[in-house]
Amino acid sequence: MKRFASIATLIGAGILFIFILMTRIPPMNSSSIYAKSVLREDGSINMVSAIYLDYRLYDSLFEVLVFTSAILGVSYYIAHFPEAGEVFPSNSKLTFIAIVASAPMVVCWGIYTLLTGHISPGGAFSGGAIGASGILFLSLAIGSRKAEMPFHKMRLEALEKYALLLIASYIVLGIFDKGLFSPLFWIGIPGAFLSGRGAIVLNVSIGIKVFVGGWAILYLFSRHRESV
Amino acid sequence: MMLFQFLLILIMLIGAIAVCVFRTLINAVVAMALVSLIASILFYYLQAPDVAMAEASVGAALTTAIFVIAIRKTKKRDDKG
Repeated sequence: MKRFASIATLIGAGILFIFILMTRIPPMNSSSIYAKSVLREDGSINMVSAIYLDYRLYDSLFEVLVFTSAILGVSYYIAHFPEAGEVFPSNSKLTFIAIVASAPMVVCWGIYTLLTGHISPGGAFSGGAIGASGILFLSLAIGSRKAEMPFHKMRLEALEKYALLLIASYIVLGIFDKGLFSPLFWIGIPGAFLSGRGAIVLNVSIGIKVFVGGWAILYLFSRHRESV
Repeated sequence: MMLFQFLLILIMLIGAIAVCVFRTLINAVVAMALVSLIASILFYYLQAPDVAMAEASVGAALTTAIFVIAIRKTKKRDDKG
């Protein structure tokens, strides 16, 4: 099992690395005034990303806060229910091999989607959700108890709180420094991986939040009896 | 291209009806995933790749996996009344 998982992780990480190296999308030659002002103001090729991480950053902040309170609520109330044991792994060898080989690649694809959200379709929310789906599929193959083990070992819950702190402090910094997207970050060449001001930082923090939150809700739901 | 889209919408409608008709839960879940998947392809054709990715990851993958886990944790009742 470990051999399959490590080979799949290696392949996934390799694809991710190659994609990131090759990512260099030319800025659009659109005559649209919106496209031009987005390029000038925040350097993001993806206008959707510019909207949710710049012009409507408060909207994203409150979405993240709603998501955080949902996770807190689920963790608080589900703790009262008795434990029902784990979701047992599938008996089928074929399912097992297929899932263990593909799940790490799905997680890597999620990481790629959230890292390049400012220059290509995707972004933090979908990247986090793709990553969480990968873990969810993995738990169908190896059982929920094994799938949730790294969650506790790597203290991912703490990481999720730090991500929220990072998003909040970025926004507060932005208020003092005129323009929510501007503080401390270099605009870069539009289309390059390192461009779009703080888009990578925000995308990664929101992505971690969604990924860890999805994972937490998954294992809480799968562990307690009355919850499903 | 228009024909292809009509075909996709037709399959989607058949899938949606199948969700209600299927008596086995796991089949209904798979049909539901199919509906989401085709919705995401249609979103892509309508030039909304962001929405397509979100629909594919949440609708087709995450929801399906959660339903499969839920079905696996529940027991089938034998009485048919």
